[in-house]
Formats: sequence, C-alpha cells, structure tokens
Amino acid sequence: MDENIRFRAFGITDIGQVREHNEDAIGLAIDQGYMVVADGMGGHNAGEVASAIAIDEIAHHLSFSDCPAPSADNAVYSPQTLHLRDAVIVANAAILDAAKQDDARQGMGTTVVAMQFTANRVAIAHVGDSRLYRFREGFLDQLTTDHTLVQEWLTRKLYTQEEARNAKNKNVITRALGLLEELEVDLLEELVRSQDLYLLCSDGLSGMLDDTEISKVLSKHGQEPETAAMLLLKLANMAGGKDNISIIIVCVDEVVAGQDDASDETLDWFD
Amino acid sequence: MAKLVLSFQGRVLEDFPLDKERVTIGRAADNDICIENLAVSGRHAAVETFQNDSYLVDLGSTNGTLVNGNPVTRHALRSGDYITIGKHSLTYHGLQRTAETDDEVEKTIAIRPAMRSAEAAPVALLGYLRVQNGGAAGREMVLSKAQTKLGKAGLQVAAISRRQQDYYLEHIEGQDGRTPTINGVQIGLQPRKLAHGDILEIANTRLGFELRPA
Repeated sequence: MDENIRFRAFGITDIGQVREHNEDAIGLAIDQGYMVVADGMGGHNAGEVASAIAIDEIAHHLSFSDCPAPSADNAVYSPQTLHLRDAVIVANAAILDAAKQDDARQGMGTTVVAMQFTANRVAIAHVGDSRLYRFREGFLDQLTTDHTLVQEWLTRKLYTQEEARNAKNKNVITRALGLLEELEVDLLEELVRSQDLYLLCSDGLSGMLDDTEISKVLSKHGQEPETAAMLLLKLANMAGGKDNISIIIVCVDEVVAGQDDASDETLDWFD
Repeated sequence: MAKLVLSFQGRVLEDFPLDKERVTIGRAADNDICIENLAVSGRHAAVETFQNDSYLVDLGSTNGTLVNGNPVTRHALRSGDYITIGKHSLTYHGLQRTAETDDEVEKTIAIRPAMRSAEAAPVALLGYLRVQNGGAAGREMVLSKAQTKLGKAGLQVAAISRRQQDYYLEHIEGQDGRTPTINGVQIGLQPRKLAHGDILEIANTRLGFELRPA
C-alpha cells in the first residue's frame, strides 16, 4: 500500500432478517489498501461458496502476483487498476472451476465491488449490483453503475425513472462472476481527497435505504467508520432486512500530495 | 406458465407458451411465432421473460407493434394486454401472482449475455477536447484514458475522469483556490459531469468538449 493515503476502515456482513444463509462476503486489507464486497447467489449454500472464493482469490492475486507493467496496449488504465481487474478475472475462473467439480455448485455466482488506493488515486473494479459510493463534502455520489436489467433499460431509455422504480425484475443482474469464462469488468479511477468517505455495500443495504438516509448517517458519523457501519446495518435491518447486508466504510484521514500534480500529457496547450 | 394466444379477425388460431427467455414473432420461418402475412416484418417483435415478468420488444418492424392500441418499442406486459401485429393479434395471459412467486422474485438471479435482448447496444461515445484559444488553438485530443490530467503545475491542474459513457471534470489544484470553469462557472470541489458542447477553462486555456461515436 502506498504511504500517500492514510485511512481507517470498518466492515461488517450480516444475514439480515429473512434469509437462512449469509451469502455475502467481505475482505479488507488495510496494509495493502484494498476493500472488497461480494454478494453470492446459487442454490443450497453455493452462493456463499462463490462469494468466499471471490474474496480469497482477489486477496491472493493482489498479494502474490506482480502488478502488470505499463504498456502502450493498456494506456487507458493504470497498472494498479489492471491488477485489480486481473484479480477479479482470476476469481471468476476459480469459481467456474469449483462449480465444475461439484454438481451442487453448478450455476453459483457472485457480484464483486473492489477498491484499492494507489498513490493519490483509487482504482475501482465492479461486476453486478454491489455498489461503491463516495461521500464528499456532504454529497453522496454513486461511482459504480449497476449491471442490472433495470439499469440497462434505463440507460437505453427503454425505461423511465418511474418504470424503473416500480419494476418487478430489480433482482435480475446482467453480469456476475461464475457465469461465463469471458468476464467484462467495469473499471474506474478517481482522485482521492482528505476527508473522503467510501462506502462499499451489497444490495441488502442499497435496496433497503435510499441515498438520503445513507447520506444522513455518513455526514453525522462517517468520521467513525465502525459507528456509521453499525448504524447503517441497524437501519437496513429495521427497514426489513430482506437480503444479506454487507457494508464497508473507509474514512480517508490524509492524502499526501506527491509529484503527481502536473499535466500527464505532454501537452504544450497550457504554456 | 404465461402464454400468448394468437388470433385473426376474432378467431383464435393457436396458444404459444412463453417457455424460454426469448420468444420471437415475425414472418420469417425461424421465428417461434411465425405469422405469414405481408403486414408482418421478417423479425417483427420478441417477448423476453424473466421469472414471472414478460416484456414485449418491437424489433424495428416496418408497421410497428401496438399494445392496447398504442405503439410501443418496449412494454412490460400485464395479463390481458392486447398486442396488434399487422392484422393479427396476440393476447398475453400472465401468471397469477401468489405469495410464493412474490417471494421468489426477491432472490437475485443472473442472466447470461446471450439471454439478453438482441437489440444493438447504444453506440459507444468518446470524449474529445479541442483548444479554442492561444497558440495551440485548433488542436485536439481524445479522452480515451480512465483519467486524464490537464493544466499547468502552480497555475491550475484538473482531471477528467471517465465513468463508462460519462465524463467528469474535477479540480486538483489552483492558484488562490480557483477551480476550473464549465461554461464560465467555477466547478468547486465536486466532480462535474460534462455535456456535449460544454466549454471548459483550465489554466487560462479554453477547451471545447465533444462526445462523438468511437
């Protein structure tokens, strides 16, 4: 983990009020600067197997394999972001392998949302409907876009906001680990500021509480990640707790400005 | 199982169970529901079913698809909906909702891309910047990276980040705390989403932002 960012984080996963299993899993490594939430699905206990494999494989890949070297081929994303993407792809392959070896685990899958701090940025990778929010100066910003049928139809303007809110097929996701060998991972890179808060969660939280309720908790208690996470969990359970609930809150205490402050293009536009 | 009942001039012709994710309707012989009538396009429409919900999609047919008399491109079907395709009609018979099916709906399911709609995905757009003043006026760059940093250290530096199809401008540092502007307005410290045609000013350089097909 880069010493440029100092942060505190707290994560919790909970079965909720209705389900018989907790199929979510979370991973936090403060020293390496990464956080992951996975929301598993599949019969029997296969969902929790899939999410657990995802967390383990991502941790293993980030710890033991080298960051890809910068190259012209992947100039779009930084090597750190590609490293995170590769970790998710490795996890996908591991889940498919495990499913092949056990009939009861056929068709198991999981969502993943992962973030890792690097220099003064955060690399973000996600698949499915688990989300990453950033709370900055009182404003809650959902950085990830759900891979759900509802969101897809909204984007294509086949649904109005009204239709999307009332849709009965909210539970249909269009991407997940464990479905196919080929996996498209959405990637983002964002600048990090001191006092930023990051919230990773499964839909057991975002499906129970709206943005206003989440903002209220973060603005009041965000500086204490454990307090904020426990309060969000309690509110989601009080609202019905219809699904498993996973929450990780990251509070950035300090970003040390590096040499990373000039135009990274060799542009003479600004002379 | 939900089904469609095909009829012509008030006569019922055939029942079609919605027994797969995508049931196609059209004049071509390989459709699941083949209607041999010149008013019907080769590939006219499709019904997509996920668990207990079915959706009707017009596939760009020549004469259009009506539901209860109104033209639709996509429509969430309700039991009793009356679909008109050419001179034929199809009535949708949905499932009775029970507590059990409602409960099942809560569970997350994932669909494979092949099971998704066959419509073309929206055209991917890429952001471009074009310099509007100074010695570099007229020069252009494509914003293909996840994040592009722009400006001059000590004067003003900003970043443009890509979130899938969208672009956001964000302040990094500036003399006297001044932030970049969009259409003459300082953006402050929150990232701002860019729209096609916006004029940005970073480190005294004016830049036009455009979205174009990749």
